[in-house]
Amino acid sequence: MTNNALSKTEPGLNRRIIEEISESKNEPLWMREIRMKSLEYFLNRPNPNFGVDISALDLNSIVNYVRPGAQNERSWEDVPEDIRENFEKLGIPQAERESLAGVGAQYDSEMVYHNMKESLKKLGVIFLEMGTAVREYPDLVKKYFMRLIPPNDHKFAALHGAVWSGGTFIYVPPNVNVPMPIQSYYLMGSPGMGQFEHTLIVVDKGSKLEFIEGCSGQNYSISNLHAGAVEIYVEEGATVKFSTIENWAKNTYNLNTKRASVDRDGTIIWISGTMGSAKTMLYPSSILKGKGARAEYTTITYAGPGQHLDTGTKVFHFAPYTSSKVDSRSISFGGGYAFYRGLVRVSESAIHSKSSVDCSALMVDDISKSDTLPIIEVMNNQSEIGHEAYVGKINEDQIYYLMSRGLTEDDAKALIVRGFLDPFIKQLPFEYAVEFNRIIDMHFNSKIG
Amino acid sequence: MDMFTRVEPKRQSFTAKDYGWEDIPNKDESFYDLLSDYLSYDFPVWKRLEFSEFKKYPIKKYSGNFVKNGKSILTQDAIKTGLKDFITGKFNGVDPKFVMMALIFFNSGIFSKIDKNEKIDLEYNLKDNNTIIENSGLILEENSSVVMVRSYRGEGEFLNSASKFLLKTGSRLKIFNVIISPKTDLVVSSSLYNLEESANLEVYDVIFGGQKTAIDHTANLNGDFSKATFKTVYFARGKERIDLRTSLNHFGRSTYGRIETNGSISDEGYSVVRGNIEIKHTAIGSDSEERSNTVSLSKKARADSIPSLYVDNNDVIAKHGASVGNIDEDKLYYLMSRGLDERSAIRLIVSGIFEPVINEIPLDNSNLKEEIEDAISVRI
Repeated sequence: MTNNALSKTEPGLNRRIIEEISESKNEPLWMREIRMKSLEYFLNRPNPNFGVDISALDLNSIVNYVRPGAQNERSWEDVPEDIRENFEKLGIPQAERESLAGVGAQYDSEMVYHNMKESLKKLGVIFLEMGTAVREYPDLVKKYFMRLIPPNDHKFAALHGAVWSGGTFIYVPPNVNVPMPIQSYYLMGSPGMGQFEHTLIVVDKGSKLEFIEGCSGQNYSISNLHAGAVEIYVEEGATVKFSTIENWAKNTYNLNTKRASVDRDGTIIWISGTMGSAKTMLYPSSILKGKGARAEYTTITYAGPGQHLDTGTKVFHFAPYTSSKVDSRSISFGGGYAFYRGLVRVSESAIHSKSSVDCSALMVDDISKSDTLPIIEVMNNQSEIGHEAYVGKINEDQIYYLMSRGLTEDDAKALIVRGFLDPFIKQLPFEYAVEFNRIIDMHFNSKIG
Repeated sequence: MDMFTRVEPKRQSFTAKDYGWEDIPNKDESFYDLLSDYLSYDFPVWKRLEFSEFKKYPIKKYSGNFVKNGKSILTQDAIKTGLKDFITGKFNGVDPKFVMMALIFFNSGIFSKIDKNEKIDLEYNLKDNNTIIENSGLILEENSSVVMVRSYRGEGEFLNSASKFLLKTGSRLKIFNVIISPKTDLVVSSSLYNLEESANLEVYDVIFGGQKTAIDHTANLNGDFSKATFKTVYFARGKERIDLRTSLNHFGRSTYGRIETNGSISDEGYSVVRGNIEIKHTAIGSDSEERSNTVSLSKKARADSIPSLYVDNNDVIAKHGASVGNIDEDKLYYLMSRGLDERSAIRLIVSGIFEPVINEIPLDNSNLKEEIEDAISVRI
């Protein structure tokens, strides 16, 4: 690391703060220019005109950069104990030994741990903390960085561009099948801070990668902000599976942007679970630009007391024979508010495309809320596009049946909720599935898990 | 439970040369306040319709007789009666600007209070009236029953219609709106329906043109067991753009709603189908569903579908489904194997979209049925 390490910035945002961040990271000029341009966009952009109400979020009081008391290490032994403990509790080091090809762990604004199996290095796979990648592979990073999510895309993309810190860079060379998933985990440990990690994944022709992203944080009485960005480039014939389990603390505003561009015959698979945060706006997007490109989504939104989660999916069909399939589910309970917002756009040139979008929402009680707004735009006559949505409550017959079999009402509800979420849970790595089931049981006072 | 605020896009507007007091065909002093309210609004920008300029089409007295059947009275006379408050009542419709315009600058329309059974036929002629501004309304007394058939035909420049319907306990309204005015620059229509207990509403729309068409139906299912069904069919060709919005607001218990919108687009036609279902916390046991299907006949045509479900209550059934596709090739080959040429086969399939609505049109309006069938033929 560098000598002029910055411990944390003052709250709010101005040119000086950004210079400080850039300086402390020893960044090349082009990156500093992206940050400055982004700041300009941020200051001039209004808040989004849809979604959750963020008027209570005071951006001037958010601390945009907090350096953890640690450097980016390649051994867990070297990570300070108090920080390591947090990741131990989440089972990250153990999972790394048993089932992962590489792990990154970020605490507040910087990665504290980043390591990958030697065998993958030999195949030419690059897995680095984002800031390190900017310094070590400037040409490669420059070619892709914030090209899919331009800083002027929306206000929080601009904010991200100005103050981004940490995150993961992955490059998989052509025809490499990464045999085990790579995982990055993000923790927010300081009150009133913003976390802005940048994830950039480039998977070259014919290669395969599975990436897992986990997020959580400690709960504070003042607001935290998460405005990360994920950019994924799926080249010709490649496949990327990107799984997220987001469990931010209930004081967090999660205003996140994720986008994938998929080339000819490539596939992007999004597995996305949104459970935490006070308010979320998140719409992973797939840009199907090559003939035969595909996108698949399995998403759940789990909105409990005090949560307004506005999530969705966006698919842009720009080439012939592209296809997309969305299975989006939400559960709202205890006064929670789940909103599905979707878009499927089929351009004039995307002939012979297919898309099917299925949304279902389960409302556990009569104080919760569930909204669905899927938009379809079709600009040619040789595509088949369909959408179905259903909002309803837990089937009482099912509850009575299970209770007649000796389950308590709470156990029965938990079992039905789990059944509803099954397609999603099945897609999760084992330890996440276990954790997820435990959370459901906790919410429904069930002990059968 | 209004714990959370849903943030929605703000209304975009533009200024244009506007109407004033001198343009009102039926002047009444009760319009003073309404007019100043109207003038405080700019015109709405409609992105998907590409509507961002307004031509001030001159408004003249309606020439001819648009009431063919029924005992209703003309709006210009009704304004002097006890119906005045009802007639001047504002609502949102496609946009408050256009609704208020119709309430003030109307040159046609009827109002009536109906306590028994009645059939009302209205035929608007755009050929003899370049600009038609309609302000209509019906109050259906308890257990009354009305069938209303409205048509707007011919090539004019501007049609703006605002209608209000109050369906009291146990009343039934069946209404048909047929618009065949392909060359008309701008067609705007807003309808508001308030339903009391056990009231039953059926609305059938058949729409061919204008160049830019915006239609809004809003039904408030206030009374328990009230029921509303909307069936809309349309065809957009050439450069026609059509934006259809149907909203069902469920307030009462055990209310029932259906929205079914089907249509076809060709050339560079563009259709936007919006179905909004909102089920409030009070609407326990309600059942609501929206379906739409668009058949696209041309590579350059565009179809958008924007269905929304807003549900505040878990004891409900709420669904929607939408599909956009081209003509089912299996159907086409089957028909052609039976000796039909491709054109006739396509015509038959598209007619099939319109049939469920055409079949509902009353027998004594058979000339209207024929005109609709002709309109389909001409388009394929």
